[in-house]
Amino acid sequence: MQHEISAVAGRTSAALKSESVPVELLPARQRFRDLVVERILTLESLRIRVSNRQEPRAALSAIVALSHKIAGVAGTLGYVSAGNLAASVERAYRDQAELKLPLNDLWSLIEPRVLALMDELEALLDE
Amino acid sequence: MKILLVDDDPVFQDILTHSLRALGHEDLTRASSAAEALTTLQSQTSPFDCILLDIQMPGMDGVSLCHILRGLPEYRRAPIVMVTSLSAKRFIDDAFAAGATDYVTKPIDRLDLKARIGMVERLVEERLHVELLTRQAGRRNEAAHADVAFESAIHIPEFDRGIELLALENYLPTLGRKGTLSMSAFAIHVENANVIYGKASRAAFVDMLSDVGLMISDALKTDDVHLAYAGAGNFVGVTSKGLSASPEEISATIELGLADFESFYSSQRLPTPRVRVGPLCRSPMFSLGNPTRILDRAIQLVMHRSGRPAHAA
Repeated sequence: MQHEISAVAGRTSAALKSESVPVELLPARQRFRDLVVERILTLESLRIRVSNRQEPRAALSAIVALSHKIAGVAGTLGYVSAGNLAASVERAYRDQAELKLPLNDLWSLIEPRVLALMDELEALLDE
Repeated sequence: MKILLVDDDPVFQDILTHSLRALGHEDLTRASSAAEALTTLQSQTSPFDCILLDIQMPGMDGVSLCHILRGLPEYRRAPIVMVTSLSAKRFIDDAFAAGATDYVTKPIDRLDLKARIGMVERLVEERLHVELLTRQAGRRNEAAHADVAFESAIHIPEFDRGIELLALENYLPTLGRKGTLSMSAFAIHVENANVIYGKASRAAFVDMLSDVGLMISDALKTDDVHLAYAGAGNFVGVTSKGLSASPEEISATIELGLADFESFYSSQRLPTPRVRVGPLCRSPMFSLGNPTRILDRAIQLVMHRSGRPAHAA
């Protein structure tokens, strides 16, 4: 699974994490970076809620909503890997939700992608 | 150009704000939800020229907001561009059916945004020109259509099921190559439109198109189609599911409805509109051309059946 997720991201976390962006987008990029810690913590607390079956459907929806936000902006701001990983979380959820997969199966498919996304976001902090 | 940005993600709002400023647009207002957008609209002394809407937001989503905006007189024709990460066909369909002018998928591309905003600017300029004519002439209905050419793909009032031709042309490429291949197009031609255009005032010509649009909507009420008026007496439609009746049956249903207006047209010394529905046509499998060519092809087919040369859409 890890191999598949790396392929989705197109590179590993240790590789180059950001690409250059137009100068006018630097303030937006800074805002994205300012939100990274908060977003990692939110993803982690939601992940624990799903794993512990504390209103897991609502927590999973919140994970997908946050991934949706990250997928929508990360690529534009030069964080292509984070954007691709976030998109893979959202895509996996939407594809499988339509098949009405049981929560356990759905989560086993999505959790590794969420962990990979959190790793990628964490790696951005080292930049 | 006065622009309203509606998106719940502050980072994306920053991206749009700075990108639009780099394109020379400074008059920008931000709202982080549909409710905030509606409140913002009420507090304006002049309406926004253009609205950029995210779809997925907490509370009311962008498609519902678009539908509400289209019900407000000052935003009935304003360009509304959906800017979203959602690329599935059902979201695209819902957005255009709610009245979206265009649909841009995130992450946004700088050149793509520039092209889309350029299109919006041209639309806004065109509408300002019509408003100016209206004010100068003082008579709203006549003036609004004073310079309507027969070939113009004009906006038809009260044709609620229809979207603008520009929106339909934006819809097809938004579906992507695979999505476009699953679509069929058809055209409905008002065979005596040129005669009516020659005899009637411009306002009466537009009223005639409204009558035909109403009857088309009624005849296709159970079909999943997007319709637009393409000019020169031609309506065009696209569907991914086909039509529930044959072209001949649809023609007969529309003409039956129009027969109710016969005495009205007679009193105006005008012929009752006669319509012909063309066959469904598909996008060529290996064509690399613009997906909107399927609309031209549909018009050519219906004109061929009518035995007349096709006007460009």
